[in-house]
Amino acid sequence: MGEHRDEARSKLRVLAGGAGEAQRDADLVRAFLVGDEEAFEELWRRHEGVVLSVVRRYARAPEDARDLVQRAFLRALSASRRGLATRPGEPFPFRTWVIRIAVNLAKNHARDEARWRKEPLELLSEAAHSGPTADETLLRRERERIVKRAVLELPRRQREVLSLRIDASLSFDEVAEVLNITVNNAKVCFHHAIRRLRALVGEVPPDGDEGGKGRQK
Amino acid sequence: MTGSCARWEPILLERVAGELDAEGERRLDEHLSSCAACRAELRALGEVLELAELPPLSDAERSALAGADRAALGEWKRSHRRRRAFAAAAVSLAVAAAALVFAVSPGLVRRPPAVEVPAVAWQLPDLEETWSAAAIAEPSAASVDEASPDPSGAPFPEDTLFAELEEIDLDAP
Repeated sequence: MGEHRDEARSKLRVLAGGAGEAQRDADLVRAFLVGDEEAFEELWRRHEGVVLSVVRRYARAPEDARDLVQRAFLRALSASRRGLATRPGEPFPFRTWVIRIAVNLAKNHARDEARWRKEPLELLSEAAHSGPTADETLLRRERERIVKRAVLELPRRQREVLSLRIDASLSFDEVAEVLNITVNNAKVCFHHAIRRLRALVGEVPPDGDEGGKGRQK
Repeated sequence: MTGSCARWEPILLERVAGELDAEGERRLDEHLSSCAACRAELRALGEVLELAELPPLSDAERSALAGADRAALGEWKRSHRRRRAFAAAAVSLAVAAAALVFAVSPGLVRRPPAVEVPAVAWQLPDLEETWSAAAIAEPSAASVDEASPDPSGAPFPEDTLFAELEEIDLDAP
């Protein structure tokens, strides 16, 4: 039973920010805006991962993801500069801003891509399965493709919450702050999203025993 | 899920979301130990999350992201320069427009009030004093001698030329 318990535990991580981290971000932004390029590099190192994880699901190609990350940073810095000019004494949460901007950029990018191509993740999935670790069955790959497409077709808020929680590993508190909703609302959206995907998976023939193979990482 | 296990569904969702507290985890584990249906449902929910997860970063993605920070910094600098140039141009344009308005429509520009100059009655100047004080050069007698236009008294070059011609004997061999 002990092994079963370990397997059943949630494997979702939480990468927390914190007040101290926010103050460090603010100091770095101020330093950069007066010409300190090393401050920019540190800001980039601190938040590149989370911003990339937010936009990556919507990117058709690696270059798209890179462009979206760059644009998110530049827009967040511009917003910071305007904020400092108009409200110099007030704190500004750079991490929240850059993630929120990334969410919006990704949403717009997905909308534009949908006009001529339906599956922005197809290339990513192909790249991931083309290496020497591609030992999964064709059936499982088909289920992955179906579920990932279904994620993109979720209602916007559910999709955003799910992506921020499982892609960016944000806590529900931070998800709520980024999306400007309540924590309870974020949790409800997450549950609805999982239920919807679960129902979809239930319609696809399973590739393992007893309702699926379980989480194998 | 059906029957009595339906009430455990929210708890299962909280577990896959990582939101269960310690007491909730304990109670769920206790239930799972005796409920195969909930164990299956929990595995299915876990599988959904696993299927929805993004694959690890590929080499192509890592390659595309290499140097992206420097490129973004360069774009910021270019944008900053453009912004400053635009601001300078806007200021210059505003100054030029103001100057143009002032030159073309002086009536539109409010002038400063005129300085009051005290009126002084005009008086006829003393002509005698004015003329005597002026240093007027009187012409000398030599300068008005008509035979010698040159004040120095030297013969006019044309006269000298004719005198030389008259001295030449044209009949001489």
